[in-house]
Amino acid sequence: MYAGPISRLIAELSRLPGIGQRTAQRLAFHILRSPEDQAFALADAIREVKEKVGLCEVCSNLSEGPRCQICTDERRDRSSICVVEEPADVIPIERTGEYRGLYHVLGGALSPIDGIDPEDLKIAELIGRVDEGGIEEVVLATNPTTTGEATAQHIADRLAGKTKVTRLASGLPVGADLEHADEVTIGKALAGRRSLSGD
Amino acid sequence: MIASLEARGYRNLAGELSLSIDPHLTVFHGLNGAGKTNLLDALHFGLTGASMRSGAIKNAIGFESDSARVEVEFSDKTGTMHKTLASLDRSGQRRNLVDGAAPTASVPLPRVALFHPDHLQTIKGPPAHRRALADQVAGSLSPSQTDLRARYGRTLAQRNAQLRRVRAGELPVTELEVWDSRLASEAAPLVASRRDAIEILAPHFREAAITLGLTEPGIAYKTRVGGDEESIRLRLAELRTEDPGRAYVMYGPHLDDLHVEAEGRPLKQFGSQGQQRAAVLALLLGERSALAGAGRESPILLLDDVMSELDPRRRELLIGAAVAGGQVVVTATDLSQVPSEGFAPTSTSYRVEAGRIDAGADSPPLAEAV
Repeated sequence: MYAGPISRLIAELSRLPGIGQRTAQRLAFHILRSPEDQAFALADAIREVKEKVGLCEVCSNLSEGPRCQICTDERRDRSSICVVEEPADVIPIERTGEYRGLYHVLGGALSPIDGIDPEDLKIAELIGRVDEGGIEEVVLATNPTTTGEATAQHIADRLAGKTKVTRLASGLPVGADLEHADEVTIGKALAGRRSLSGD
Repeated sequence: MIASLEARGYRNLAGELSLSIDPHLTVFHGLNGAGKTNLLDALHFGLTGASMRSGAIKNAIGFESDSARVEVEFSDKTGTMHKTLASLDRSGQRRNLVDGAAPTASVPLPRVALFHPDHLQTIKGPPAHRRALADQVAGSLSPSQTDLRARYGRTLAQRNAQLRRVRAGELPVTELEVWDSRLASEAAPLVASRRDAIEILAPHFREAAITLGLTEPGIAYKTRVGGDEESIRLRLAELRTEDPGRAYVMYGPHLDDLHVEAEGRPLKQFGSQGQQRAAVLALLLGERSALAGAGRESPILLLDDVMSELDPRRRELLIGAAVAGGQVVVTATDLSQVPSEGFAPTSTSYRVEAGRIDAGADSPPLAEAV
């Protein structure tokens, strides 16, 4: 339908998540119309991200060098590790400013249906880090889903006796109206309620 | 409380249709194929966003329309009026809104209880139907438990996938431990919620069933899963060593059942069609009265085509019990099949013909408030 290079660009763009054929076409023509330097900047950025960004050799978070910014930051608390499923999960925890320890990115969650076993995740690496010593707490921050809970359970079992293992609490989103929360979330929050006064 | 219904382009209903719903009893009557069930279905669609009939939802759009649109006006506990909007068009776009926005916990969609001839499967069909009923009752009695069933189901699917791989020799049997442990922690609350729900439902069911003519009716929750999370985990561990070759977990709440009986015999095997129908109706009436007992709003009861199968005395008992529990809408081929005077404080009937409301005869209300 279109000249070879345009068709190829459309085909490549439509492989991106959330991009259908029509959006891909629109993006392709936008790129075609945009100034050369802008289009090349996009191409360079894509190339650069693939060439330069890899996984941190310690925590498997995204990293520009062999070790990520967090692992190389001397100010971080080296006695605790927060375990998450994906690199994207690090960002919201970092934004809180509440957590000053290190991370460990598993690269997914256990899922027999998809054939994802402990060996497919960076679990052995996590155990290795704990075995090296100096870790006082492992915070399991996998998602509260079927697969996330099973992954947390698996890791907790394997770390039993080695260090303190904690799990993120579930409850209400802060600042949101109670009336907009669903019954299941409110039920969980009720079950995990805490006392505000003595005894 | 449902106040009124407006429908356009819904199934065979002609033109723009607008009618009020009686606070107690509303009757849609007409010949077969006139559209009275479609009118009831329009109300169901307006309240739930789903048709009560099976089949593709697109079939709910009338032949001559591009879209179907139903609005239902209702009042909440405080008496404030709200309006639902349910619509769908041929491109597959669907909406189900309250006051122009997605339903929230403070203004939810009104609840609906439906009797449809297909629902005899609850008694006659495989246990899955009755488990679904138990979970639906548990969810309506305590909405925070609505996700237990789905959570257990997802964990079970993962556990079975793991089991298949163990069986194929891809993994050692110890790889099941985590999933058994997860399964136990999801199973325990599910079993507890079903047990609690049926315990609450049982006396209400009995009362309604006796009213509808069943002798010594009863409902009981049957499960092989006993005890707490820890004992379920231990049992799963035993099964793992006893019989690692099994393809599925033969133990757990996914094998539960409800025994619905009369005269000491299960209605599934020994009930007549009439007894089974009475039991399904008693489940609906029982759930409504259990909800009322728990201080929750009673759902509007939609009864499709049930009158013709009952003798006159049973009709009176059914209408009496149904109206006592809240709002009721029924369809019937003949208005005389629906006892109203003396059984409902007020009632309104509509004669349906060729997809239209026949403006003559019996609306406005048959009987005014007493």
